Amino acid sequence: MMLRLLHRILKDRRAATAVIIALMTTPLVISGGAAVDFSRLSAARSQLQYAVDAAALAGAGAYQVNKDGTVAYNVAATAFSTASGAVRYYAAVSSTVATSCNPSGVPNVTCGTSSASNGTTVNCPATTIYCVQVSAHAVLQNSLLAIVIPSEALNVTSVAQSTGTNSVGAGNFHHVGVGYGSDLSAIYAYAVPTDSAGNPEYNNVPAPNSYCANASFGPIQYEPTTAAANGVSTCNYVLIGENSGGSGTGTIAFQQSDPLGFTFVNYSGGTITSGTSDLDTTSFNAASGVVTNTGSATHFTGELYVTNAGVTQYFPTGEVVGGTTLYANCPAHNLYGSINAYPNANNNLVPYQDSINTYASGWELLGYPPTHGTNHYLLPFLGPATSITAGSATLTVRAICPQWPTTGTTIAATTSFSPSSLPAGYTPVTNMSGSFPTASNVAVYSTYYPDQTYASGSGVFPPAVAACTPATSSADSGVTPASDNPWWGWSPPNASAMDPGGAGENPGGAALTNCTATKLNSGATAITATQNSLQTSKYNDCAFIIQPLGTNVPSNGGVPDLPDYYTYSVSPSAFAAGTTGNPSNIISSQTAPLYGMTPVYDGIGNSNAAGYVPASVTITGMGPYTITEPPAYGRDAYPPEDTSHQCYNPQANGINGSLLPGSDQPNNDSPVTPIDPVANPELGAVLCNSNPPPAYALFWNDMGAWAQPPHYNDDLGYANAVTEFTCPTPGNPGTSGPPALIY
Amino acid sequence: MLLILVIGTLEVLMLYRTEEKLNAFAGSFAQMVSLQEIAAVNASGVVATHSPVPTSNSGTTTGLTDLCAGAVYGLQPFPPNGMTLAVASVTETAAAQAASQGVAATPALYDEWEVDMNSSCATTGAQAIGTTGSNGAVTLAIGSGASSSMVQGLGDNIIIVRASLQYPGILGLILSSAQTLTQTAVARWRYASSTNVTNVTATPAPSSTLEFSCSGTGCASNYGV
Repeated sequence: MMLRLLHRILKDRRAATAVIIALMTTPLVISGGAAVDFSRLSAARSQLQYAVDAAALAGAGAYQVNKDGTVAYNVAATAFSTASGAVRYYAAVSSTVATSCNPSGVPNVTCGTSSASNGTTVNCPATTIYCVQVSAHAVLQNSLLAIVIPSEALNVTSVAQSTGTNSVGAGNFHHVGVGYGSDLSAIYAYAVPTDSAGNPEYNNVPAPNSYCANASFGPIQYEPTTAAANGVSTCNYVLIGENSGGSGTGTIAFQQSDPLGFTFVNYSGGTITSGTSDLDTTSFNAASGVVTNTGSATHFTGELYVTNAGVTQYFPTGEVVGGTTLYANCPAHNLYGSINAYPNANNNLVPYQDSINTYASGWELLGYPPTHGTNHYLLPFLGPATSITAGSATLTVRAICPQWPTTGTTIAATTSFSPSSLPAGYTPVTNMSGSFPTASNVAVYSTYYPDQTYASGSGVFPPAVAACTPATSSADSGVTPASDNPWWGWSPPNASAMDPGGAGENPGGAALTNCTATKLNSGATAITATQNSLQTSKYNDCAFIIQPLGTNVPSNGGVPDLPDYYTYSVSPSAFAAGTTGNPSNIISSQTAPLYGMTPVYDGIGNSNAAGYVPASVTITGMGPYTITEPPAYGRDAYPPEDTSHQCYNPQANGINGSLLPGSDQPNNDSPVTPIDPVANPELGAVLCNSNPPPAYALFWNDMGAWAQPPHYNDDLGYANAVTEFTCPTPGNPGTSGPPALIY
Repeated sequence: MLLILVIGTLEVLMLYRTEEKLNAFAGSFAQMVSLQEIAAVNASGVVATHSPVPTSNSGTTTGLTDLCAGAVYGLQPFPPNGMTLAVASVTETAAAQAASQGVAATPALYDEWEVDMNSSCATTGAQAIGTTGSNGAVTLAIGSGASSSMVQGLGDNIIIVRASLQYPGILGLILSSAQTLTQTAVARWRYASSTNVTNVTATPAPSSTLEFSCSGTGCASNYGV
């Protein structure tokens, strides 16, 4: 019976499918679910992998640019968060980001602050510099497959690296030297070293590398050198300009965020002013004691220390060789160096290696350390939107500066100023009421480029920061008391010009005052190290102004212009606000004695402005005004003379600056916190990280050249030189190193 | 039932495959855009753009349409019918400035552009992402704050790609409406750096002013801010 029943069941075809389905349902569902869930898993893995790849690339790229691990971390974390948005709809996602930085062997590469890495292991190749690893973990709850496997876990990792250093120094500097004066000096640019956190060390002057030992790099070739960093194949200093003129280009390797500092090198340490042409220090033959006049000079003024066979000789005043007269007016060590020299194999003098003292501009120039208190903020060239229509041109007045009087000056200390609270670090421009002389004019500094009009606040010229620094006016003939007057904080200029022909330090001249160069060991035939020091000159020649010119500098024939300065003088009572005047109101003789109305000197290489004289002058805005001040010594590319009467000698004030290794002055850190010279580029350093590249005018003077009143040997506008320096067109990660790539 | 199960399984598989393809499409496109190196240099040697291809003011979309055409190949065998592609770029062109020296604080400035394309990779003029607004590109880029921003400093950039695809699937034969798949990908322009920012001077001009007024007896000055 049971057999029959079984046989009947087996023969029965009814509901067979139901049985099969019953038996196959679970496997089918599981299979289908697995297919679906695995597809979902695959899609999630794809999305997740893309998210970590994108995040790692973004982080490594940001690390390369910003040189900061925290920035790289933030970029990577945020990029992952955004890129993984699709996965997060159906999966629980977590991630870890870790960064790695290996700066060894690459110059000026820093890692910045440590990232807030929550990763523990970074699988970065040893050769990479910047590396970011992003790992992600996702948990997907299965759908149909959840019967068997509740969830799936995904782990993906991506490592992106950057081997590039993002150097931007491959471009050329375009500098146009304007030689003036014949005291030989030069300006170099260098990348300010950074500490391990990427902070600039302005008081650290890097040693020249071995590539600097080349004549094309100027006197720095004589400095002791060190081995170049890996990957560096050029001198780490670039010769920007010499006061003997000329122009050229150079390259320097630096990172995008590195400030550029400037060093000042004094070739001769003494004034070498010739009657008709300049003399080159390399023409001196120490062995014979003959100073070869290679030019057509009839005399020169200077002081030389010549080291020969271990004996340093001093060539004092009155040395006459071959019809050339030597005069002395320099200290043994001026602010930036001296002329110690020794003969080479050809018996030509070359600078003694310890004598070329170069100083870090951000730390040293214009006082030490550069603070607003000691260096005197250069007032911005941005005044009220005041325009002066002069003939067919419109001049934009940017700053109004006081002009010191010519006689009877009495400068009192600050009594009050308004507003009462100024931003930290500012030297207040005081209320001059009661202390400012009565018969005064007010200088309005304006700049002008031929055939161009610049609207207030939007033009590239005049520069943002300029030289509205009223120390002593040249027009006061030196009657302004020589004092550390607290009004402007500036030290007075040299009150007496060089008077050659006499004896001693100031041969035949009047009593020396602050800025006049002095020397020790006058007349000595040999000096010792202890003697070779400054005497008591409290002030000495200052040397350097960096004037930002902005971008898109007008050029003529490819040669960038420098700011034109010309101003006019009118009586304070000649104009009321909003009045229109004419040239008859202009009192040109008062404050522009040399140039008056007529000369308007154009920029370098640009003759368009020659002879430009406004036919009428319309002043709008606040008045009355006096527009005055010619460019210094006949070149409107120079800052007005008031700008340049700035004297400060840190050495003489017991402060020694940062010197190149091997130099003969020690470092002496100051307790004063310097201001940021990048934020205040007039104080010594610039950044070349913008595009279009910014340009700067560099004015410098090393030591007083012989000068005629009212031009003094500390007049930066008189001597020695100005040059235009344009940052290189910046590169990007693609030009100096590959962009970030997945490892 | 089995047929339904099979069809359903295939439909879901195809959906995920399409989604994966779309994800790869968006990602590939974003990475291709991010690798576009600037080639346009003007006569002064100044790099003219500061983001991968177009800027808000000028530029060409030719490069983007080419990249789109290339990325569409990656969609095969799926046709790009109904596809929309939006790419936006956000670049910080001016860093935020804290109040200093009497100058009021200023927020960071961004250059953003967006180009939308259709399935033929022709530009449409639409703004699917939108450069502004709470869901716009800038908001996506800068997130909720400085530390969470993908645009961390001057010149930093983020490229946002949003791709949508109409997926009718098998059910599309029956249903009139098709499912819309959307994928968003981000990438940072590989060449993003502050050096690519144009029209930004290294030293912002101070806005402080020096004012003098003089009378016959002297001058008074104000340091205006």
